[in-house]
Amino acid sequence: MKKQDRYPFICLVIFIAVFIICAIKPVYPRDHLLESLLSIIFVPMLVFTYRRFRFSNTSYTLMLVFMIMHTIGSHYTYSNVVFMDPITNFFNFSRNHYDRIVHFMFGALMYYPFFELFKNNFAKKDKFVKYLFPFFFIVALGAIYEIIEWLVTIIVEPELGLAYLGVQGDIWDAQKDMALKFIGALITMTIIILKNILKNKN
Amino acid sequence: MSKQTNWQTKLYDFLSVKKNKLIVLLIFTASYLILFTILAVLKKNYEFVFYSIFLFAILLFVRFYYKDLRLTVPILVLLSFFGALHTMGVNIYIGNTRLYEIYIYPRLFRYDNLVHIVGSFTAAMISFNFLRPYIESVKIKSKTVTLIIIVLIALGFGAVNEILELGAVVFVDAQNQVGDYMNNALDLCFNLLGSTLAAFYIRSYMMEKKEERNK
Repeated sequence: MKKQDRYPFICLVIFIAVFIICAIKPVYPRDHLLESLLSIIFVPMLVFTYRRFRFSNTSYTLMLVFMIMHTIGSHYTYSNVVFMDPITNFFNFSRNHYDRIVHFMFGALMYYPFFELFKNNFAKKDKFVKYLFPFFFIVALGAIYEIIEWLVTIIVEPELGLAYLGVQGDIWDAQKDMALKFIGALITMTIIILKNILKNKN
Repeated sequence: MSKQTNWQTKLYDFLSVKKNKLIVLLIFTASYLILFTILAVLKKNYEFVFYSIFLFAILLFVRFYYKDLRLTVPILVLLSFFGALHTMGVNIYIGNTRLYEIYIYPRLFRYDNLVHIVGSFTAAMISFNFLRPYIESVKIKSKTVTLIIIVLIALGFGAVNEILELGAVVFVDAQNQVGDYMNNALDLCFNLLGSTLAAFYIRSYMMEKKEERNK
């Protein structure tokens, strides 16, 4: 194995290990299967396109962190993640906010890999394309996720759908989830822009 | 000689059809925005006043940066048309029902859905215009991948609009004006439809054909 391939491979091994551990006795097996679809599609896609789209090690780390968070969420079903119980009780929240954290982290962590994708494959110098397109891309993926959630609710199985949705009684749930991705991506975008400005100054 | 050429070019540019079209378009867009904002203030429709600030900001931004944004005349016409559809939908009432809630096709297709289709179609055209200079020079040669990217970016524009609607609910309490979970889901679906239609249009009429490239 080449030296440059070692780090992505280690990330893949860590993810597979976490995925297998979380697949053992999930709290709601059918929900877990449904929520694992993202990992089942996304991770092999990264493996198969590895030669064509090689991301930086930073991107692989960020993607790994997000996928682990998602896998943990799917093990417990987002609305029942036990790690969040002390926080929910301490702040007297009416719902478990683990899903909100993961939506925010999706925007914050996944912006950078998409930024790299646009920078390396479309426009290195065009600032609009380089910075804003990955941002809209993240929000769009959030919208597609919400469409899938909604379709699961109305088509596949209404009872299972509600658990999968994690709406938890909030009619603005979809907008809030997308808004969190939006804020997460906006923060990372600002950090990258500031970092590049400072770099250019130096 | 070169001075004269510059002067003539400037005069030609000022009198050119393109420039006149843009001035007419700007006056048309600003007029309906001002008219409907006054109407909204009179009717105490604060959701629209909230939106009109955003729309005026977009109008000003487009006015000064349309060349940098690579917005062509047809796209500017589409943008203005979309703006007109939106402002009419909010402010015009048929009986007691707002135009946005009127069904164009009973139980299936509302005016609101039409506006979302036009909006995301426009957004996809803008995205395509942005990516156009890079399409031929990028590593990604697949037209399908490029079109998927265009659809997703247009969908992103639409999703930002949904987030703004949430902002309207939080900041100006427009709960009755912007719809709920179901409305949001349908909006996103029609956005996807509009951007997909634009992708088909781009693929059919605006992308260089393989045979043309081989010539």
